[in-house]
Amino acid sequence: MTLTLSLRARPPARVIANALIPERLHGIDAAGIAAVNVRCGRETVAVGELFEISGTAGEELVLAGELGRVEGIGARMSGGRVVVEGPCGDHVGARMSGGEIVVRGDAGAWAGAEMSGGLVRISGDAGARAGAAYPGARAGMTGGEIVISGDAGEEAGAGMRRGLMAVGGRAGSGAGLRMLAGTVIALGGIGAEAGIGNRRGSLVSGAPIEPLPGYAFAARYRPPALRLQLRRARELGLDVGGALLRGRWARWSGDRTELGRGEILIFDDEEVL
Amino acid sequence: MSALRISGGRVHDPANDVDGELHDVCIDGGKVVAEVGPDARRIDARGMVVMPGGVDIHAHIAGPKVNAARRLSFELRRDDVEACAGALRSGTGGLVPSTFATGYRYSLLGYTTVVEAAAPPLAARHVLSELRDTPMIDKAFLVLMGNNQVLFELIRESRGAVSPALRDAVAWWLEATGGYGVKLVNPGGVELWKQNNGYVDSLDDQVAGFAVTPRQVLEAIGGAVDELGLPHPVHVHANNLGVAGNADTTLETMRTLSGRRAHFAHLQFHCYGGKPGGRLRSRAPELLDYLGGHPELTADVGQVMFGEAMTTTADAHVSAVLRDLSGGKWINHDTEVETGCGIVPYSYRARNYVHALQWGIGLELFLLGRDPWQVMLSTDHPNGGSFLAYPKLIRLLMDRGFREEQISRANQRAIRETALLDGLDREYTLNEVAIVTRAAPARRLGLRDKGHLGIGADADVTIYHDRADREEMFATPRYVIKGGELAVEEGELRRADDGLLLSSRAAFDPEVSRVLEPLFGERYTVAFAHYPVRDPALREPARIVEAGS
Repeated sequence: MTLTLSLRARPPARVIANALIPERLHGIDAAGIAAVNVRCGRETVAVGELFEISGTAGEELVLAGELGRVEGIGARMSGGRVVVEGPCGDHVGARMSGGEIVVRGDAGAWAGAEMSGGLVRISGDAGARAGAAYPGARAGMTGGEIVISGDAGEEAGAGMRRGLMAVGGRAGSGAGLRMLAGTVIALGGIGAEAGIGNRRGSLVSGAPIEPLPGYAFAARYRPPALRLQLRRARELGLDVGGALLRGRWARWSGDRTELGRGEILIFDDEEVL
Repeated sequence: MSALRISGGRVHDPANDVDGELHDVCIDGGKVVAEVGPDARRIDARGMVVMPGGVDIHAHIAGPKVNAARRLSFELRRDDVEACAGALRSGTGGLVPSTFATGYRYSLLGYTTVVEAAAPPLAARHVLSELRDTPMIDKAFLVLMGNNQVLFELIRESRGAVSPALRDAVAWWLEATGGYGVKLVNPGGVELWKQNNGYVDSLDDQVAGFAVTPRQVLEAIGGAVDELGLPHPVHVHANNLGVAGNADTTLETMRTLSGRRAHFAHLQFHCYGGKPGGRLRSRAPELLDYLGGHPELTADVGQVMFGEAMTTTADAHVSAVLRDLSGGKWINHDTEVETGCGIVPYSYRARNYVHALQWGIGLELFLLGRDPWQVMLSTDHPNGGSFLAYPKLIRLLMDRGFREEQISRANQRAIRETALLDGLDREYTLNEVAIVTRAAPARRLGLRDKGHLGIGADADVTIYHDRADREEMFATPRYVIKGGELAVEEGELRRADDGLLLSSRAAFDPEVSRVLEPLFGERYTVAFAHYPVRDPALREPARIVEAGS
């Protein structure tokens, strides 16, 4: 059963859509869903005023339209599936613990922030601090997977504790900032200042980058664990070339300004290209 | 203001020797009166418990350190958001609620008067601004004077005696800030730490550069407050908070101040035996013995409650130590020549030896103390836990079964160091609870119109369902009446009220400016003329309690 909510027009202000997750709408009829309140700017607005409603609420929720001003889609969900047909606003999948979110477009900042489980797939670009910790909190995402086919914004995976973030394009500057553990893969490379204050995390760059002085070159090898993660990224729809799977990677250990048990892996094998 | 009759409730008004008697409380014009007309509104309180509104003698609710603690604890507040509703403003809760939420939540708990226990005088504008935005409750703040370099200069000149200049200076500072009382935090020690990472070993250590000792600061400022006859005596956070063996310092501080009226803040943190750097022990019984022989001294407990807390203190040294223990976030702030400040989020865990001992010592102070008028309830909010934990604390005091169940969950090695396993069967009565949460704090603050329900008292009344579960009972009063108007009904706020600012005033010779101005010029970054708060919107309206009255 699929419920489809199509945005009637671009909302006059940002809409906080935390209430729109399958588990909360399950079993509610169309009239009931139309009457659910969401915040729009400083007003409280009924869902029926903003969206055209069709289908039946069940496991799957489809949101359609220009959703750039709709925030917190799928936030805190623990199961089911949300499909966003088009771009969406900030905080998509934030603090979710299970289920799947598919965004067919670009996502705003804080995608999958502090999520603890489930899967977020973004076919376009993601904004800043995907999978990151919110201000004040030490730990960002603690489980689950985020797959971004395009580029990720700044500070992707900041404070990340566990889980996998795979970026098909480039990750912006400051990726893996104060990372505790977990893995951020960026096939297109990582911007400046990757992994400042990284404790045990793995940053993976498919293109050459210059690690910060807090990192020391350790070895050039074929990391078996990375191959598994890259295969998983390919399963999830990223274009992982065979060279990356077969080739060697340079391992830099750091950040030695912190615990220093983390790493940056940089693809470094001209022979297989 | 409308007339109101609270009829048929069991009244607990210990200040007037009323212990659970059935009688009506009549209210008119915001005051308790002898009788009201037959058409007065009636609240049926049959089967309920009627007490004066709660009075918190020691909490941290406003000012720069509280605000910094809010900024530091974003992650604790984001899930506790109150939307605005009608006349009620929006806010966030957590351990350090925003100003509006602080007022609302105290009121929902049946408290009607709260004292912010430590404000740097330089921050008086900030404190007053926040207190003006803390609705529903009457509030006052205490002015920090224990590490003020200008006052040190005066104390050096007087060699620790109460000179006229010093007495006038203390009164001037209250007038300049709108404060209610005088607070000493680790007198001399904060300045020592700021200068050179130092600490107070003995009350006779010299504060470098000033040739004054903590003992002289205690005697001079405590003596000045006493001589001025301020409504609230000097409020002391003694030296060496949290250090093993600090009971010696606390006893020495009590001896130094004995004979003068003084209030000891969060005594639990100052009752420790053992050697510095070694394992903590409890010396609560010894301190209670001393207090028992000195009715001029009082204390509040500063109970720690297991769970998250936010330590916010002017004792910057303690904060630095806590930061080393927690390894997490820390704010340190130097308020130029007046004081320091430190903020560290902290978690008290039942299984931890030290935390369980601190918890047990707090309960010892409550349960072994003979006179509840002398040892009052506080958690040093938010240092030992939030004020929202008061109902649970009251249940620990009133319900032996619950207490023993909680004791069994705490670190037993620590509990064995306390008297809690010695068949301590005391259970607080409702009257004793009314003493430690209302009557005693109001009396100690010199608030004659508060903490009781006699004729002429402020009509601040809290009415509770008489429930067996005391935690539930004290967490959700049936009615809260503030200034004669119904403020809370069954857990819901009924009106928005600004609450009163309480300040105190003592006469002083204005010529003291001639002494202070050059000292300000030498030391402060703020010009003397700009220092006093003159903004009418901050100073007025206020209820002024005159010294010596």
